[in-house]
Amino acid sequence: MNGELSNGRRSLKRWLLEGLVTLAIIGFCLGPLYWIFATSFKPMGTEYVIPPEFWPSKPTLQAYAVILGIQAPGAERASQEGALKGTTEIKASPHLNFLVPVRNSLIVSTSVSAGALLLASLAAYAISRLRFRWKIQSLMVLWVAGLLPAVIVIAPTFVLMRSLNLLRTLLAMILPNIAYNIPLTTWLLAVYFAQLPWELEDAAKMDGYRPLQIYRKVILPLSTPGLFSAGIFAFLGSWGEFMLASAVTMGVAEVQTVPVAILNLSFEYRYQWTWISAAICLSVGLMVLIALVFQRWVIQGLTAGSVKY
Amino acid sequence: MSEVYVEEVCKQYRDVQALDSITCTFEDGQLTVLVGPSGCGKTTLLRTIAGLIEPSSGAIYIGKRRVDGIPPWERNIAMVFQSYALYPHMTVFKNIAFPLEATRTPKDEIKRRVVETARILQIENLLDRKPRELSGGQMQRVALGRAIVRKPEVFLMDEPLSNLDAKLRVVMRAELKHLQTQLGVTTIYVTHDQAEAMTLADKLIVMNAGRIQQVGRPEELYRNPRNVFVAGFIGSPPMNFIEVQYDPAERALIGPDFQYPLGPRWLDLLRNRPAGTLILGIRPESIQVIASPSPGMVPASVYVMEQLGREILLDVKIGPQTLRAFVPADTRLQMGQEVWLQFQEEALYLFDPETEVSLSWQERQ
Repeated sequence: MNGELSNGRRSLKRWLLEGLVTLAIIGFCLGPLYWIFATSFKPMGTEYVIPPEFWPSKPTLQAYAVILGIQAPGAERASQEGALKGTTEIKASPHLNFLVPVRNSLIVSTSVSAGALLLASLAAYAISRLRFRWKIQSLMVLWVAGLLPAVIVIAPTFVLMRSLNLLRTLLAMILPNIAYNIPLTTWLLAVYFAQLPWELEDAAKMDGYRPLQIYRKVILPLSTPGLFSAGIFAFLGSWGEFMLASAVTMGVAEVQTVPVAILNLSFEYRYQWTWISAAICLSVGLMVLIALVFQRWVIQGLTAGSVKY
Repeated sequence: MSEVYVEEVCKQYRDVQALDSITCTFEDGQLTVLVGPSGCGKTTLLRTIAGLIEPSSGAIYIGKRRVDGIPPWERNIAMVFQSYALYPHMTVFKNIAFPLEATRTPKDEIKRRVVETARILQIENLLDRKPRELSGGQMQRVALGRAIVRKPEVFLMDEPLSNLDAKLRVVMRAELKHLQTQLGVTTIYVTHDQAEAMTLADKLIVMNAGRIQQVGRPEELYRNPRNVFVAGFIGSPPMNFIEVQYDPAERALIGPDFQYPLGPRWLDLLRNRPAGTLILGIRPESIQVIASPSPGMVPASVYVMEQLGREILLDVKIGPQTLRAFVPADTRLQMGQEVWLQFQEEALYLFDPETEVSLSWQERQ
């Protein structure tokens, strides 16, 4: 009886401790995100208020309006402090149309996932189905290539893009990012293809189809879950890519992607945290939305493909 | 519809001779069964004919056309796989239509032929379903449908019934036989199950270790096996084998615990043979078990009795050797009881212990 009780107490203590640790980890991870989220709804200039506001007392969409170019920056303050009108108004700049970097990022990431999937899936198909000399070795090289830190390749990539005359274009981000994503995408897809039954391909051959037709009509449709998950990796990877994007866009607002645009926003407007937060929220929100939509597909696909074997 | 002719086909893997100089004919419109234990090369031969494996040497003809070197998609062969290999992302209709779409058949023609095929196989009500919604037997029918819809020159079937449960297998076996006769398409069927092979085959090809052991009609192979392997493989339960000494002076076979006097026919066959070891083969159904001794009979003791309903399968011991025999279902016997066996002489087989070839094979042909 006594023992049971102390046992119960111990497990309660344990449970409490585990709960606290978990909460601490969650807080550590999500805290900053929450702060950014809350800040994005604060009126300009209130982000430094002490004591800090955990939720703005007067939440506003002002910051979003500004970075989307709907409202001129400073307009509100100008209207409040009418006398200063015209002197403190910050000049509208191309960096304040956040839709442009969002569009650029969408173009870049979509092209990167499409391109990486196309090339990597062909490579992965060959890897999973053919026997050739140095197969394992070439896979290892691919793997090591994927492990190379971006810093190492950034200079040569820049030079390459310059000689191709692609600097200050979206292609300068699309092409290298496809290359960066090929190792991981290939590995993911090769693993996926390897578990598809060979007999389906044999059956398709007997049914009168050539290898490329089989790839298109049998392998790809059966691999939707694998393609989507690999595609999401490539998409997210290129969406967050900063170093190359910052180098090859060379400060030209029209071709900047979201991460670069956010940095420029910070520099140009002396850390207007409400705007920066709003930009980050938009970027993250869009990613979450895309991940959710695609996730549904991935799960649907995962349960759809089964055959009795 | 065409004859398939395989000439001197070899397939060499790194250190395994999977097919060793195979030459055989698959007659037009007939169902030929390739049978043998796993690893005997039967599936390799089938896949070589399909074009999924290229032979190391030799030639394959379908009709008058030489097809080795031609990719499988140009051979006009249909194949049914052990796992059915239905396309899981397509409906039954699409699965059956798939081979027709490869040949750019017009849409209404495809529809007509798919529906007609589904009607023959009684799966018209399943056309909108996906493979995962089907039972094993239904999947089997769809796989067959996909093969027959195209009206190919040859059907290849790789153990198509082995994934079905025992009862359904017997049903589908009969249906398959009926369908094949009805369509009259040259069919090559691979199985390791000798009972399935016997019931289906117009012609049997028994394979072992990459070589053809014997070719013939099922009853021929049963009645007159060419060697120990075929004798032991065809028939269930398999033929009994006992090592015996041939003694020309005694005109008899000397077994571990018995002496068997030979009749004139055997003595004639063995007249040029010196004394020595032979392998005696006798089918369980050719042994008579008698409770009291009489001359020329072989003494044995009952080891196990398996009641099969129609009859009892008996395991008896002759010295260290176990033999199997059938006795009527109402026979009263006890374990360890002494019995006497009578071997019907015309049902006796003798094999050379070196070559394992039947000594009476030539004569019986």
